[in-house]
Amino acid sequence: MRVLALGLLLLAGCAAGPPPKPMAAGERPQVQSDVGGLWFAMDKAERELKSSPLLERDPKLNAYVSNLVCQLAAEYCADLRVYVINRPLFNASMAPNGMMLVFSGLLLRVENEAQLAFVLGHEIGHFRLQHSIQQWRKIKNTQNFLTAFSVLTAGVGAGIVGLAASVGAYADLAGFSRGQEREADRFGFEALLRAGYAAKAPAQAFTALLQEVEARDERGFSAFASHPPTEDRAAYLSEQAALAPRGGREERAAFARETQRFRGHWLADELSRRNFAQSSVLLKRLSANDPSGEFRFYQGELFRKRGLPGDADRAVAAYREALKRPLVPVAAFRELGLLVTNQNERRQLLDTYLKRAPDAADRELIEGYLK
Amino acid sequence: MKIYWLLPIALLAACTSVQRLIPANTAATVGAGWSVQSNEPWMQFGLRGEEWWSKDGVFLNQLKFIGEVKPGEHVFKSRVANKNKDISPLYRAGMSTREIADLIQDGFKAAGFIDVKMLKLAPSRFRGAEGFRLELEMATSKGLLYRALIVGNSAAPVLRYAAYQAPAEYYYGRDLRSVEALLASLQ
Amino acid sequence: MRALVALLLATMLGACAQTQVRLAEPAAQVKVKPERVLLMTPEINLYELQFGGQLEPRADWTLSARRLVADALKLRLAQTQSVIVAAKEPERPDPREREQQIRKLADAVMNSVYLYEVGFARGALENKKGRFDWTLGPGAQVLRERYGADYALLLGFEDSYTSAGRAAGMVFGALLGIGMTGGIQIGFAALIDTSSGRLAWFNFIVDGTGDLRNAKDAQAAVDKLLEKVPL
Repeated sequence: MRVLALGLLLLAGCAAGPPPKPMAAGERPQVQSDVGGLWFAMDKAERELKSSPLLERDPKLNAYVSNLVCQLAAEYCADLRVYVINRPLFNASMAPNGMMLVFSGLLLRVENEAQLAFVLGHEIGHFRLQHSIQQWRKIKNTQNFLTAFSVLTAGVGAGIVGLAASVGAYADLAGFSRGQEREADRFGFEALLRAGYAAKAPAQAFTALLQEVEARDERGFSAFASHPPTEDRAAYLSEQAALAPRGGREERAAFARETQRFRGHWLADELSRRNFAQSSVLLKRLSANDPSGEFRFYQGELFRKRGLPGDADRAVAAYREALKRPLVPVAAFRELGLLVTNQNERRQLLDTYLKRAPDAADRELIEGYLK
Repeated sequence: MKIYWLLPIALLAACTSVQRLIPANTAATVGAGWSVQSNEPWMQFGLRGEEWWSKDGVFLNQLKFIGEVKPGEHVFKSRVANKNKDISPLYRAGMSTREIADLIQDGFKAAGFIDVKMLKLAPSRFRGAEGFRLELEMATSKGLLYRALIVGNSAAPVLRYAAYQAPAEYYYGRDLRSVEALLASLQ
Repeated sequence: MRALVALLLATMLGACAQTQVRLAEPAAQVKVKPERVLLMTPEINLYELQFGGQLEPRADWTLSARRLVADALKLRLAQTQSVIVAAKEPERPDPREREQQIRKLADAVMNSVYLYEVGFARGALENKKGRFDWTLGPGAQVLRERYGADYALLLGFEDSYTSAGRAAGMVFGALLGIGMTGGIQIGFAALIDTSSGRLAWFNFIVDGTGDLRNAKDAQAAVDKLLEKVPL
């Protein structure tokens, strides 16, 4: 059940009346209006989200993202509530009731605060311009309405099918039109500049992401379920960057500081998708700017999981490289230990692993190899 | 009352396939022609070679017997080839214990479970051959915690396993001993 | 998919206007006399049934139904000797916390009871024949500890109503043989013994009449749902 696919359908429904005026700050619709119904369903979904394990609860990370949103939203700050979702998708969603979802797959992929600010600003644009409500009115009279709403009212627990899609869907409802995406891009870009960030950041982000989008593994699910970066949008953002003043902040270090401790977890989730083509492009890009052992370790993980001819050797090389560097996860000792053929080296590595990870869940397994 | 869809086994299979009562202390044939026996009665559902047993229904306990996952097949035998679903946790011949544990965890993540965590992984024997015993914890998207116990063979051309899954609150623990005895009887 | 599935399940029941009342054990053996009952927040959702069969959640209807059901419950439960306590709803609940897990398990158990006792997998669990031993397990004691309640009452309604003027020609009304002005109402309730977690009593109603949008009918629905509740 992919509500997001609705955006690709030609919606023949009649738009009821002219597009809604941008909302005033602090405004809420009447409960009887059609917008009220949508708002209400969103409120319900939001309540469920609050008790969901999908929610990332770390207070500092939440504060960081929320403060950024607040800055960008200016007088609309109080209307917005930001939630960080632990799912390996490049997505941020904005529900018309002011609930914003920022997915960990997005935080993993942007390289600095400026890039993040643009994406958040884009979502604020959708909110400010009431795009969801326009789409809502369009699909209201179609068969897909039920699908959309059942996803919403089933809440975060839409279950097996397209869980990731449903969490995104319940804020997005239906894909936005190209015109709406353009409006939101413009809004996001202007917000970016007003806040003093570098104009080139969005284009850079999109160019990088496009490479990942294009690396398609037929079988795995794409990380770009909604809001896919397109050539169109990348081109538009490059144009805008060329016209804007040079300079501006990127805040690469600040962003790294706030997200460093989550990256391992996000990378593990990323690799669990088993979409090796996309993960490969992503890892290459991220590790180019980061000397830590962490990225090299996950590079090894990718080869290990993929298991194509030659991958075992590649994995060994990557783990070895990781172990030479700082900030390497302790699992690197185990993974390398399990792959090397030299018995002495194997013992040493697995021994080290057990010493450094006394509470390892796989202790018995590893001890078995050391007997 | 929120209707729940949560486990890798299709809910529909629960309701449309023929069920059979397996009385206590009666040998039953499951999976790849395995013989198994419990000291309690269970209901059997599912297709031949992929039977699943339950006492309280699909949401409260599932004991699956998967006779054969061939190389290139989905670890949970999912047959749905939908581009939008992640169908990539596929078995490779000869996978080690560690690889299989990883594959199974990724399978649960792909099925929509959250916070999939390994509690224990140990070597074991499965039907007389090299095998593994894996214990996991995970949450549904609505936040109900489940535990799972999976035993199977490793480093083999084909993967065969049995998996027990139930809510962490009360249900998993209630039947764990009995399930372990049942699995020990599996041949 | 909740409301739709609920409706599909309803169509499989056949006798839609029936209520199914079950006591966990024969009345003679069990004396259920709760002193203090924890009322879990009722789950209530109202939808408008559209011409093509779609369901539109109606915020206004749901909000007023919630108020009316709360009032009806107050009245109905005032007739009992038991003290009624409302469950706390924290702002950002930790899903792993015990009370939250018990509530989520209660959801799963209610779904199971519906599916296997009343819905289309009714009778599938032959191993449970003659027994009614659905339970949340002794973890339910957390409710006893926290609220001092010896029983917990879980209930809710999922209701859909046709809008006036669209009643004619509804395929599904015909299928169910129910009055065109109504929708389908599914109500559920369960009384849980917090010392053991067992379901002491449950009831489901599937009905084509009854309208939670007015006080009189809301009271009637609540009364019907809780008709034989041992309180």
